[in-house]
Amino acid sequence: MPVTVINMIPNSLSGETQRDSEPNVSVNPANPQQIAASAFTPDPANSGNAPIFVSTDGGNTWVLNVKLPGGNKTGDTSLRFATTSGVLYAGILRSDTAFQLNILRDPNFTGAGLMTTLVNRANDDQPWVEAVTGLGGTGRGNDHLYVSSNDISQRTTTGFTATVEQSLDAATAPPPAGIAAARLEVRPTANLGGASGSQDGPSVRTAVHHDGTVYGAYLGWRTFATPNVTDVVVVRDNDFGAGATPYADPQDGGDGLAGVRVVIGVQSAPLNTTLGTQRIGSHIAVAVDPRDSQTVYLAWADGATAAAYTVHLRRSTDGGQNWTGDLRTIASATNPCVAINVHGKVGFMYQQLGNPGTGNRWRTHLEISSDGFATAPTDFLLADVPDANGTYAGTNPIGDYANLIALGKNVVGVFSANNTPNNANFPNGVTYQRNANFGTNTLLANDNVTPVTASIDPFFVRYIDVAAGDDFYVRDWTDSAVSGDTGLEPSTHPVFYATSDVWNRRGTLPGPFPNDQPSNEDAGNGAGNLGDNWAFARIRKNAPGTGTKDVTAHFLVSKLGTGSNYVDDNIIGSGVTFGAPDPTVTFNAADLGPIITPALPWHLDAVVSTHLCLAVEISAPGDPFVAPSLLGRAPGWPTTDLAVINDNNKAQRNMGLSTTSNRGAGLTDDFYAIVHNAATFRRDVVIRLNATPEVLRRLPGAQIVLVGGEKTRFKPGTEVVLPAMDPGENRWIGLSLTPPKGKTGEVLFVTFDEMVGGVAVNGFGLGVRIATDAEVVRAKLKLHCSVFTRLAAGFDVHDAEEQAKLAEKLAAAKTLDTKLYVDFLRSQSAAITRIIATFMKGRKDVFRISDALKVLSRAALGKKWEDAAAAHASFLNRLDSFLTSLQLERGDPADILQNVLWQQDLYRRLPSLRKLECAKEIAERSRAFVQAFGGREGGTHGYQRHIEGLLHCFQDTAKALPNLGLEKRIEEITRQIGDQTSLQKAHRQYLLVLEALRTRAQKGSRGRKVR
Amino acid sequence: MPTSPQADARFEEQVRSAPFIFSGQIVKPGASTVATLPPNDRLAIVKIDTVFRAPAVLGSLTGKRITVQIAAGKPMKTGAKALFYATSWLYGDGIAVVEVARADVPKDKKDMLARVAQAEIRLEDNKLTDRLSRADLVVSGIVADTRPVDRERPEPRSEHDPVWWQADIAVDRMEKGKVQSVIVLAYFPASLDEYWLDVPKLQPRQRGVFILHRGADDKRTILQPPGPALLHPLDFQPAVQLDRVRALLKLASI
Repeated sequence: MPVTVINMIPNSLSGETQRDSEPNVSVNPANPQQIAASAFTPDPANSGNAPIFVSTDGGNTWVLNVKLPGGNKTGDTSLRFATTSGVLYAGILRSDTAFQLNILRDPNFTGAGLMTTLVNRANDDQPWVEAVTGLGGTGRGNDHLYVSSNDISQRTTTGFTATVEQSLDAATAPPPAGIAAARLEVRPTANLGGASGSQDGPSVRTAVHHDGTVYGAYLGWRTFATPNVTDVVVVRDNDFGAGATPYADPQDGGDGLAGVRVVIGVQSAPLNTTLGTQRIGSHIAVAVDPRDSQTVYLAWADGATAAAYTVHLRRSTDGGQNWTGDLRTIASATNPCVAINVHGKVGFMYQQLGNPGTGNRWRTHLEISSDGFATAPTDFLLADVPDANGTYAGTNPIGDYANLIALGKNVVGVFSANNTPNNANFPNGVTYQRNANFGTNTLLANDNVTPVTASIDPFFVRYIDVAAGDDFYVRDWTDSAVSGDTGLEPSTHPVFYATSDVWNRRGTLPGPFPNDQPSNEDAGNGAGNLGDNWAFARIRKNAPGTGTKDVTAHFLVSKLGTGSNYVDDNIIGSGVTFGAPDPTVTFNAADLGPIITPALPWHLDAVVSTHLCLAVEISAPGDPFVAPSLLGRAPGWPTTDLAVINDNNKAQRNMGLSTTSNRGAGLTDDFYAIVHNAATFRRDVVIRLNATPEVLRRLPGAQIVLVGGEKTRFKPGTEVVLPAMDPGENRWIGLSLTPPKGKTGEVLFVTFDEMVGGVAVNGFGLGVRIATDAEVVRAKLKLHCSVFTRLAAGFDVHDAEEQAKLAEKLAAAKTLDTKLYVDFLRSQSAAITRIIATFMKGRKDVFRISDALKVLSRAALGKKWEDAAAAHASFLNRLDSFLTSLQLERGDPADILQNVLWQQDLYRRLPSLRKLECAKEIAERSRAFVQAFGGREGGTHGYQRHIEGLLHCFQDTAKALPNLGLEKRIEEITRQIGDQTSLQKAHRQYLLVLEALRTRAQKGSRGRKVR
Repeated sequence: MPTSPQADARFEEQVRSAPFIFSGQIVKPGASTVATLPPNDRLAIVKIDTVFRAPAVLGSLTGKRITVQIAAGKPMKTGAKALFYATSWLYGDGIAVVEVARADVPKDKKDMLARVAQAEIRLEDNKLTDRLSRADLVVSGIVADTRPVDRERPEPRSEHDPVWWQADIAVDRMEKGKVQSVIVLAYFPASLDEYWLDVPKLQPRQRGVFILHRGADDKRTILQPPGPALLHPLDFQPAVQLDRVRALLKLASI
């Protein structure tokens, strides 16, 4: 059964008989086991403060925690965690003062003590909280807080009462934490008569997408009467509501004003109307698709009388401009809720009054649709309980709202219902924490004997999209044979890129598993078998299932570092070729794995560096990976937030290890990785350094090298800031270390986490693998072969080919010792020096290759071969990184999708571009390209056609912004059509001009507050 | 037994701030009985010996183990017995409270129970006295009739509108304030919304004491009542409380 229903009243309150209605719920995205909820539940001890419900086990058990100020119970309450901060926000109406809004914050929702009050304001109604941690747009990395409400303080002034109070940095700033009001309403509202002013309906909601799109939905009251007359309005902002005139989109086709009227002038029952015994008259809900911010669902209720009261569900796929007709129409229903999971499945919950002839009953339905309601959804009847004719006969039994949210693949919600313990009332099952006898349908007090009168309780519902028996995963980490990733989403290890179950080998066997960790081998590059590699993944299942299931693994590679976009052979010009279809493994019903995928042959061209990351995304029937694919993207950016740790179908290995002698060395071994800004805006990239105490002890002199800068000591916990990186820009960061002594097979590495808002969105490791003498010299010779192969193939340095061949030949020798290796270095020293001198002529030596070569030449003549090996590695790694940097200067097909996403972002957000006639066409074409790419259907094949189709828009842009010099950029784009790599570069140059425009615009508006 | 008004006041304040008063023995420092509450060095499990004050809904806590977040600086030695004053915190499979004060275990438990009961009565009296002192009119009498205020515009503007109704109260005696008529027009919120659910809904022939407020009182903001109104659960007292009300009015010189 994918649905679980749990009565939330804790066991210690078995004797309670309250009307615990109007519930709300929030799951901490950073730890989905942590859930907070609310209802009209008083503090049992009447302390003067009110409780929230807290669960730390995913909703299975609940505790009341007294956290809310303002009375023993609160009025309207809603709660939200931000995405990554773990901070809980609440919007409440205090019960000790009518219509008194408090906006609250708490970084420790399980601890003792009240939440911090950020705002304490009179005259408000039905606050509704949404929060995200922004990874893009304005205020990125910060908690963005949105408290929508009916701000009735506006009744006698503007009458624009539909309001959102928002802050773009709410987590830590002192009260009021930057919270300011933005009005959603722009049309005249319903006159209340006399001097009372005018207003909208009480229910105002927002939905926030991580890309910065924020929707507001409200009931724009136009006539106050019996019945009321209302518009149902949706507004949108494209940048977290940060602009000077937020929520100005979309414009209504009828009156041209901000906010599309989805329906106009419908009748709605007055607020004292009851359906059964439940008050009705103001209900609306909105949800945005986490995969596509332009897809949004809207649910509301209207109808002049109780008999006519009807819930409607509609969808827009163009940012709220146009809407479907009713996807669902539910008569005699209220409290609509809608949520969309990462697979695009839509959860739609509502409470419907029915009368089977034995009295009114409230039936709470959860419908799940996987095709946007094109076909009948799966309907789960969660509760079927008496309204007023049962043992509870109070009023407003279910409250003015319920709540449904999606987190990852799952959907959770809360609703209130009569709590008579009767299995027939809960067709999909129910679990009670409080004492109850389901045989006699009697609640029992704490003594488990005394009967307790039935009342209203909150119920938690959890819909699991992928059952444990169908849930396949690839480990993000393994620490030892007894400690590894169990498929939790998000996975829990801070380093999710070093010991994962995806790896490369230079042969067809998967290799050994010391500490149950795969043994990754550096890739090879070059013609023939020099560039032959084999990819592997190890797949597990969470629990026994039913039937036999085939699981397919798709592999991707990217340049070593953080932020570099993944490629496969859908990316033309990437230099990567997969030599066989995606491998498949078969799980029988009882199999839990691990099962290793068959070796997947892949080839790396001679021109490509062997310093790579490897990723896998697996798919099984009923358990596809969460779209979009990593193809053309990097974890964390631009909207696939934390793609690897949030989706147990994905894993990556971002590790660069230098093979070093078990006797250590005296000279330093330098290793470099790329930091690529995968975002669609300019930003400071923050890299946090880390290492275990043991690694620090063993690598005492380790230093950080910023290419073009100085070396600094490696200090764990410190952050390196790479300022003002443009989208698609690459910089290099390196680790310089003296190889330590150790045991053969030991791996010592330090980590570099890419931080956004205090959270590691991606990262990589650099370090050493301690090996035997023969392994070390063979590894260095292979690296020598690889780098000089690149030099020959990619830069026409013909002498380099000879170097590659000599190294390859020696590496393949059956007997290889350190003397032969040193002899090779000594004999080739002059030739290498000559090649490098010629190659570097006229080129800026930012990697200090010449210095490294001098060190190598000296070391080769020295007594210690280990020093020569370290110097050799340092020289080769510098040269390899330099070659990569030169290649990237020509353009990078891996960044094609990023270009298109960036272009989409600029034309969607930047006011001077958004107003262009062509902006919509650019947005639509970009969106189509991105969608095809995300399904791994299009790759870069359609890129040239995409650019050609947009050239007239680029020209329109140039005309509209004549001072930017865009014409030259467009000419260059036109010239480069026909070559993906150089076209990507020309396209990027065009976008950089627009990005500079955005930077100027942001500087100009800095410090401006929202209205 | 306290011997001074100051001691009485201190004790009353302790009772006011501590919905939980119990004697017990610390059986496990640094531990928790609540599954969601990880053990830490501020917590201790206390086995309850005698309950002097606790919410009735929790049933009997005697003999049960409860988690106490010990007040900063207070000792928590295993085996130590004490009288704990605590406030509300967590209610799950177990209960956790936050210590606000501590004293020696009383030798005479009956006496302690009586003192707590007396303090609770005084606290309730204080609450009622507060309502009486804020009131514009206090009337003893009987409800003659009730009706909605505005038959023309019954639509509420918010779910939380009080939905004012009028009640004609036939006055037996003006306990506070002055009116000329023998009938006092009183208002009360008929709404069954969460805000107003506990405020008395007057019915014809209902006899008692009506504590009426012309201003919005603590339910302030836009909810200014149209006339003297009941705004709080204590604003109606049944006739049997009349002597108590009069005594409190006199005591407080209202």
